[in-house]
Amino acid sequence: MLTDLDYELLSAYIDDTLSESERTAFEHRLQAEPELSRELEELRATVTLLNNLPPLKAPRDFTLDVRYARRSSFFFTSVTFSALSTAAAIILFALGTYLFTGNKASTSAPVSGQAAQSAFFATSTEQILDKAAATTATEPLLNEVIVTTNTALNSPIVPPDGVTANDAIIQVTSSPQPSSLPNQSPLFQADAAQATDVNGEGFDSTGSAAALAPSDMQQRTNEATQTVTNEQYAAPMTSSGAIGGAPAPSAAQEIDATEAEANASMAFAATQLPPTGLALLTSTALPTASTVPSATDTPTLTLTPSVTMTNTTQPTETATPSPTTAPLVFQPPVTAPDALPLLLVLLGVIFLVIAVITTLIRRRNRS
Amino acid sequence: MVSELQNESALITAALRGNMTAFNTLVLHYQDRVYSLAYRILGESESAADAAQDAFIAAYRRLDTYRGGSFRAWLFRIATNTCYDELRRLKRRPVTAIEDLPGADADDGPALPADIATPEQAAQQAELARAIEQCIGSLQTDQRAVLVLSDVEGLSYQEITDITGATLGTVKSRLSRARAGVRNCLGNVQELLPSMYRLKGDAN
Repeated sequence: MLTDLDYELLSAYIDDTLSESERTAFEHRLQAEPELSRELEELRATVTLLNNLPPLKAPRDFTLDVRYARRSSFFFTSVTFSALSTAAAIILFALGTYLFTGNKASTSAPVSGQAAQSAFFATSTEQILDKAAATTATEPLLNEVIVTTNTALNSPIVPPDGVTANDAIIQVTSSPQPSSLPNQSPLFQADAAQATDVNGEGFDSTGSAAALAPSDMQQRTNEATQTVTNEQYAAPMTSSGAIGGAPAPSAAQEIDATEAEANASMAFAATQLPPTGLALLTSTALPTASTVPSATDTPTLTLTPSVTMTNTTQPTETATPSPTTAPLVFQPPVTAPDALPLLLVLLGVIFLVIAVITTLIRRRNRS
Repeated sequence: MVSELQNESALITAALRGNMTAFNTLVLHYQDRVYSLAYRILGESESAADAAQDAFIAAYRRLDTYRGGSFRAWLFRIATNTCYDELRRLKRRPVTAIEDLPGADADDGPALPADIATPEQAAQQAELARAIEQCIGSLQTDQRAVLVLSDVEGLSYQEITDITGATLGTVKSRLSRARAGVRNCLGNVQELLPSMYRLKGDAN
């Protein structure tokens, strides 16, 4: 019985790769062992058969097209390029997500605190409306400011002691030379009352589109924040109605700028809870995104109620800012940090698409 | 059988400069051998054609890595690698290659050598060649590759170690096992074979 070593020696002997001494020793064995000798002959015959095995005919020509020459030199379709694109996409996605969640965390942090505060400060909507109706002054507001206030109104905060959300808004939006105009309270009250009755279920034409937007917004906000009570729910709706119909600030000016801003940012944070990525992308596409402060990312922006609102409420807009609050305008827009993650994600998508396309091209080249 | 191209180095130089016609001349010269190598390693004609095509594309793209020496060995190295790639791909997505083994398909038979005199001889020779292909296909992949590179394509041990990345000892061991395997296989395949087989064996 031959061993593996015997077969290796036989194979080496056939190929003449044994050393002189090895060969001599092996030839002695071949003479002495007929089995080994027979095996050698059969193996040798096998090798000869293999040596003479004719090549097969290629089923087709494998000549290369000129396109291979061109494409082969393209870095664009190389594996490296695809890999780099994919890596860039992943990094951009990660960075965008990180920045986005970071922003969200920082803005949503005050929500719970503010919600509790608003619950504590909540007063009846009638009171607020009465006070608001008491003093009205018309002041055309800038579109973007209205957007801001409108968003701020979504805040379920009802400041204490007659200081409505409107106050905050007026402070925020007050122009340098506010002028008091004849009281428009009849219209306003009717409208506000309607707003209260409807309780967020859409507003009539006098309520304007601006009111509609908040109502939609409010529903979403409530869905997201379970802690919001009915009272809180009603409060912002009336506030919205007030703005929509005839916003009227009370005389009280307790709310300072920081609180106003806090309210606005809270509105932003609250309304930002439910939106999907798509909504966020849409909001960035809006031209107002760059001009509107932190509230820009709220889905209400996509409705852009400001235009309608300005038209319908222009004569009834009110503003009685105190000297202390007059200069208090929103800080320069902080949209850059908000838009950046979206921009990064968008870039990531682009890189991902490039990676997929180059991979597809390469695969097509192979086939 | 393996006739060297007289102007092979000139064609390679021209191909390096982007002359596709020069490269395609090389392709046409080597395509049967590359396809044969691929077929014998893979045991399946469609995969072999894919591997051969991939090998020539890869060869063109990596032509600047050719550092002289045997162009055929360099080409076979690339072809063997594309075959291994193809084997890995087939392993992930197995296909029914059994009916496509040599001998099962008349159209797949090897090209007939030109020096066959009579139709009987031609038929016997074709039958034998088919049996050999079948026996090669029955070997393990590693043994198959070494056997084909060594005994069918006539490459040296050193070239085979370069191509397969295996050590010299491993190559020798695989080769001896592969030869023994084919010998055993041929002895068992058909009644027809022993006479032809011994005829060949006696001739040497």
